[in-house]
Amino acid sequence: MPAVTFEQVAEHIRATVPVRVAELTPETTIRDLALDSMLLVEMVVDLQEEFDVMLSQAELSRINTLGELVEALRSQ
Amino acid sequence: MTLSENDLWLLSFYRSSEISAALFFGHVSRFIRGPLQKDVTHHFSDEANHSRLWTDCITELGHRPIKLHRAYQDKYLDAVGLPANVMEVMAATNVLEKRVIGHYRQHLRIPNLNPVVKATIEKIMLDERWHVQYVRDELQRLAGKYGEEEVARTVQRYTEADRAIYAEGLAEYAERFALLPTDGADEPADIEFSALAAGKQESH
Repeated sequence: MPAVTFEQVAEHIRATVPVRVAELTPETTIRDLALDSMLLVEMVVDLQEEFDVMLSQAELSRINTLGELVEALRSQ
Repeated sequence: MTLSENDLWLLSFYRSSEISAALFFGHVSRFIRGPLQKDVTHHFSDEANHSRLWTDCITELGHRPIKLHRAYQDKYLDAVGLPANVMEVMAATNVLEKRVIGHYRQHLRIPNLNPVVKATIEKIMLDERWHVQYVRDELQRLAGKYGEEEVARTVQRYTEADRAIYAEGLAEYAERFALLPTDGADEPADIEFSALAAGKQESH
């Protein structure tokens, strides 16, 4: 499977979160997205399902930025 | 036949918890893929319908539901953390659904239970049994992907948290739950994952 790109992840995030793709960068923090807890679950599980990746609570707790999220999705 | 203040609070709590469950499953319905999408979307509509049934029940008994901000699920997620993946969503659902069945079963044992309340719980229980069944089947399937031990460990972690939260709720709202029979109330309608993996049927 080809490596997950930041652009692919950003497009998927846009489908869940009302934000413009152009506003998303690898430095954007999860906190910047100002998600409520259920939207956060929806976003991270949606990405795992899309890219066929399994992340644990412990792995997710170490992720602060979208760049780190993309790295975690690529790592499997 | 009217409702006491505690009865009204309890039925409103059920309504509020069903609304929270519907909102949660609305999110799950949006990210779930494949054949499970149909079941989860059905589950989402069931939970919304249950909140309607409680609204109808309370209204039929001459009251308006009390607005409550915190549902059982909120405390639960605060304690165990947000589910990180589909398996954890299903494991949390498995434990919560068993708790709901166990709790409603306790409610049905109240002597001289209001017939409108009884009929409402019985209608809801039909759906809840199916929820437990399809989630159990899905967890068995997910054991192939996540590993049986990891699934069993996750279900166990959520079960332990659920027991603590339920006991805490019973203590915090002792007056509200005073009418419920207490024997067996601290245990969810239990089916352990080891039994699920062996393909045993739920005995309820």
